Amino acid sequence: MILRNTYKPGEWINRKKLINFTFEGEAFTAFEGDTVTSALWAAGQKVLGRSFKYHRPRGVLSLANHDVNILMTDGLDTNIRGDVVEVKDGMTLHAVNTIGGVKKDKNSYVDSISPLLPVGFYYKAFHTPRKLFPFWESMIRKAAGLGVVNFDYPRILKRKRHSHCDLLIIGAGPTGLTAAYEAAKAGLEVTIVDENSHIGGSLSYDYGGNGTLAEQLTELTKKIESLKNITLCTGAYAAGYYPDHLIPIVEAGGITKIRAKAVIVASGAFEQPLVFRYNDLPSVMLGSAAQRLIYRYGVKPCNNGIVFTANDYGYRVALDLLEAGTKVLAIVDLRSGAHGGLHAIEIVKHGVKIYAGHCVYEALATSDKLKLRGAIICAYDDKNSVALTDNKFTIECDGIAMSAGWAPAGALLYQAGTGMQFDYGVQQFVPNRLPDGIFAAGKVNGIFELDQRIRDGARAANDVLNYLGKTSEKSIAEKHNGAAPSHAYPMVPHPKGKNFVDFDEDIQIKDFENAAKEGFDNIELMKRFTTVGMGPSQGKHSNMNAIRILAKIRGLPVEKIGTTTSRPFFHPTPMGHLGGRGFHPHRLTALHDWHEAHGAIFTDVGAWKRAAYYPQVGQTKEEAIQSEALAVRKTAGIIDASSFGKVEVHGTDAAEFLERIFTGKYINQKVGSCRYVMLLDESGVVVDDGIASRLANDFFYLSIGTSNAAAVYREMQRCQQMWQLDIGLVNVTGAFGSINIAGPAARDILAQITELDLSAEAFPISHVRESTVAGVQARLIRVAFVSDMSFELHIPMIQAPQVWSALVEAGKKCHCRPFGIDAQRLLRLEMGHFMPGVDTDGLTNPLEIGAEWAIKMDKAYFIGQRSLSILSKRPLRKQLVAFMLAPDFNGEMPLECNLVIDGTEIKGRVTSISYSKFIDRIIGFAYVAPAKNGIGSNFNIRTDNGSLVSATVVETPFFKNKKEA
Amino acid sequence: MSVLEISDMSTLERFGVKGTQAAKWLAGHDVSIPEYANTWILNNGETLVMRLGSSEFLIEDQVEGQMCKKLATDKVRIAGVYIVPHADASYLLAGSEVLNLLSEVCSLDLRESALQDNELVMTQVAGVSATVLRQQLNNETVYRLWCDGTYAKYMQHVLDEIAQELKGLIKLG
Repeated sequence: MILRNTYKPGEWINRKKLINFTFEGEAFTAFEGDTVTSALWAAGQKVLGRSFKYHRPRGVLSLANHDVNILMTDGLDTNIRGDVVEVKDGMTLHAVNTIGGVKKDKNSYVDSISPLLPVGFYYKAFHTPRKLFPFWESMIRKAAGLGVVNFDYPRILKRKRHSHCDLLIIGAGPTGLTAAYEAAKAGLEVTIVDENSHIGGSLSYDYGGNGTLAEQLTELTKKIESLKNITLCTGAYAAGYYPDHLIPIVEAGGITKIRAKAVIVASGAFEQPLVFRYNDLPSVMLGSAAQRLIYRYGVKPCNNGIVFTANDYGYRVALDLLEAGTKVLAIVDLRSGAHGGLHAIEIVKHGVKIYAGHCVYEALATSDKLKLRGAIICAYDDKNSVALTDNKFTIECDGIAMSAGWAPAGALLYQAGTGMQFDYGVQQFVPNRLPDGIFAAGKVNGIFELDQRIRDGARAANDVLNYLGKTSEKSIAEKHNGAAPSHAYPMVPHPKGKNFVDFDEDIQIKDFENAAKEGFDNIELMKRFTTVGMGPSQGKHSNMNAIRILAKIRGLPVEKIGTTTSRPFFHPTPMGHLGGRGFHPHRLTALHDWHEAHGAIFTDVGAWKRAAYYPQVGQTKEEAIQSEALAVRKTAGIIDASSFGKVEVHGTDAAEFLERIFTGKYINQKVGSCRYVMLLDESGVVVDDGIASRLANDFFYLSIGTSNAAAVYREMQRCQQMWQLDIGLVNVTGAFGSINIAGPAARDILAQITELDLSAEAFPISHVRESTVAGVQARLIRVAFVSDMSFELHIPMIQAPQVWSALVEAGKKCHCRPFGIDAQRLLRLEMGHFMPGVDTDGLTNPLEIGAEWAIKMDKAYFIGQRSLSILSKRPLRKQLVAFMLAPDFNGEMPLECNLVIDGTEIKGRVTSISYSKFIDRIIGFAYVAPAKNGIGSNFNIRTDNGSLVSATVVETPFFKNKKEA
Repeated sequence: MSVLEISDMSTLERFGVKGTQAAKWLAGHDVSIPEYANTWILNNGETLVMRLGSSEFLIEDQVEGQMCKKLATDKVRIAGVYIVPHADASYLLAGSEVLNLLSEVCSLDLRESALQDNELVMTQVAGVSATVLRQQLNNETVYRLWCDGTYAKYMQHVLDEIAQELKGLIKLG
């Protein structure tokens, strides 16, 4: 621990507990509380990572999770952020994105060929010549990404919780803590969130040589801890803003979605780098990073350092470096005539030389290019932003701390819809118009002095209290006094480049200039062409400088350039967090256990688990389906249809309601009869269909499709809200089970367990009766969906097993067997019935499926009527037809969604297709050109292997064709 | 107080009714009803009467209660009174971790400071439409939860999984 200093009050490490770990095969020792980076830096290990594109050696930049210079893998996890992840005993770490280790990365040659990889390289390489595309693809795929995904990574559940509070404060710096204290004192329930593992923000490192500020944090912490209505969330970041103040908070263990009545954004600001040649060398770091090393981890950033600054903050950094024992060789201030404020006097007392109006023209690397050995200093023309190299000189040093200014951590403000304006007084975008319930305070609000920030926190708390209707004194927001905390253009041009703006993507000043020359001179276009801000740091240290560069290129003020769009999540979040605990609600019928016990294979239909088929021993899926279907054709089968949507429509206006909702007529429907119902949307598209059974003059019982049941019921409720008819809707989908018994023996089987007269005369097709079945009160409906001889039994869900068992028992002699929905689909296909959602899509109207018979255009109104009236005057573009393949067909079986081809044109697609053992043909439905819809017409289907299969249009139902044949 | 207990109350008798005349009809059957929508009361100190909307009610008996059976015997169809068959899954949740459990499955604030006494909410629990209320039972705060019975196994699985993570117990029946 050659750079470890002695104890400092407020530090985050526990010097009593030692931790052992390895990095790149070398053993290191750390203190408990050290991050991977602080431990390695304390040990003098300064090359901690390699850059993404050029594989340049990298060290500490922000030490704040605002950059990705230092990403590690422990063999299990990848892209571990060394700057903020605490080192654990026994860790075995390696840097990512290297071949051969961080010091001898074999890919470091890429840096030397960087002129061949200019901005936009990817786009151009992929463009022409086309024959080189595979080569470039292979190259770029190998180079892309940082860590390697571990496909054996264990599934670790990340919880997703919901939480609520009166006030959510983002940022536990002096501003946020003060706001929390004031608001909580007034009785509000406050939650504070901070990305750091400890509270305090800049009050835990920005001391300007004045260590007594640590005591101020201690006092503030005590006040916070004294109030029970404050909840502190450290090591957690607010990842985005969603309407009505919903903010996901990401922690190691999961995500908490907090709904707050008000939000104070006191998230501070990201320090920005100065842009000069080789500003990315290890040991060139942000001033605040140096301070974090000193006060949080007791680590000296360097022995002999330079402070390169473009604001007064650099002088505070210099004082902190001196406090840490670093010999500060010079302060190089970009500003001509700068005086550095009161801190400059202290600096001079320490004998530190100040070079105002100067710049670091270039950082110098050691011969192995791994370390900093010095800096070339020269004068700087602050007005024209050019280095004056005539009298340049070199200072030998092992560290450069840089302070150019700040970019507000305003992502959540942007996402909430805050209007921002550029404030030249602070050279920063600041909130101008805040949405209701959103408040900003501190650095993000353009307030930088500590005393002012504390007052701004209290002011924001008062504003919140007033907003929430609590009486509180009105306080006026203060403005920043003194020199701007940020420099207007902290760039040092260099003819040889390598002056990095974006450290994630290795983007230099010239890349922006070239992008602008190629026409990408809008900030959003430039972002995408150069990829600035598109790396894992999401522009935290690069976006503001990019905006300044583009403004200069175009000769416009910064506010005219604007900012790129901020979208949630503003910080990279592991997929495991986003996945979390998944809720996949599924419904089971009362017969589910029976199906399971009898070997059913289940499939998802809407929210339901339904039995697809019941394979017997040795049967394939296809064999099972065919044998189930054959049973229905030859004897009988029963199917659990409990998932059907079931709705009761009561009231004197019940028939009128159905007239308006569906396409058919119901006013004159007789009690005891059933009619087909078809629901369209307002554009005339088929939504669903089903059966309406009239049980009384003022009572209809609807059974509709499974998948759309909830949506159809919602639509009914919505319409009733508008129409206000005298009806009552009761959704009985979950309360009623349904069993369908079908096949030639269905009547005889059912007759054994009911006293109802089932004869064709007493109970014809399309009629409904109420009776008891197996002792259970039931509604019986004669439908002809899968067979002409079919009875649908609707009974209370809880009694469905009783009825099912009775049917199974009664059907034993006839070899009645259960069939699943796969056989049901084949059976309805044989019957020639289309299915909404299978044979239709989100654009299909009833005219295209030949359902004119179901449309009663002479009614006063039904949903979709107007659109249908317009559509009926237009020629059809496609039409659903039934088809068969040739009897001796033995080629590749076409599949659903295979295209119908005419020459080189796509004319339609197959919607349903299956082999029918009963008919012994391959049958199906397909959309074809209207000219090809005549019975006997032929059309071609292109199969997956590219072959064309001829199909012939036939009449339905299919098995009548067989009889005729 | 236990860490977390989840009891399956699905077998309790329930009766649902809706319609413009439902309130009057219930009153005619000596059922006291809550004054406002989305509130509940205890009838005679035992039968739970929930007003799910301005004109919809759900009534639940205690173990030996007879109110629901009695109401179900009235089969006379009356305009504006529509019986709503219920085959709900129903749970009672109690214990020190109950709010932690609920925070994982429901986005609403169900703490005492937000969910008023005698208030009920119709919301989503674990992605399923559900009714939730808070009660005092044997001097302990408990939450009641109802959802469609076809979701019972799913809901039970979700609650069970979280309860186990929170070191709680599941009681059946």
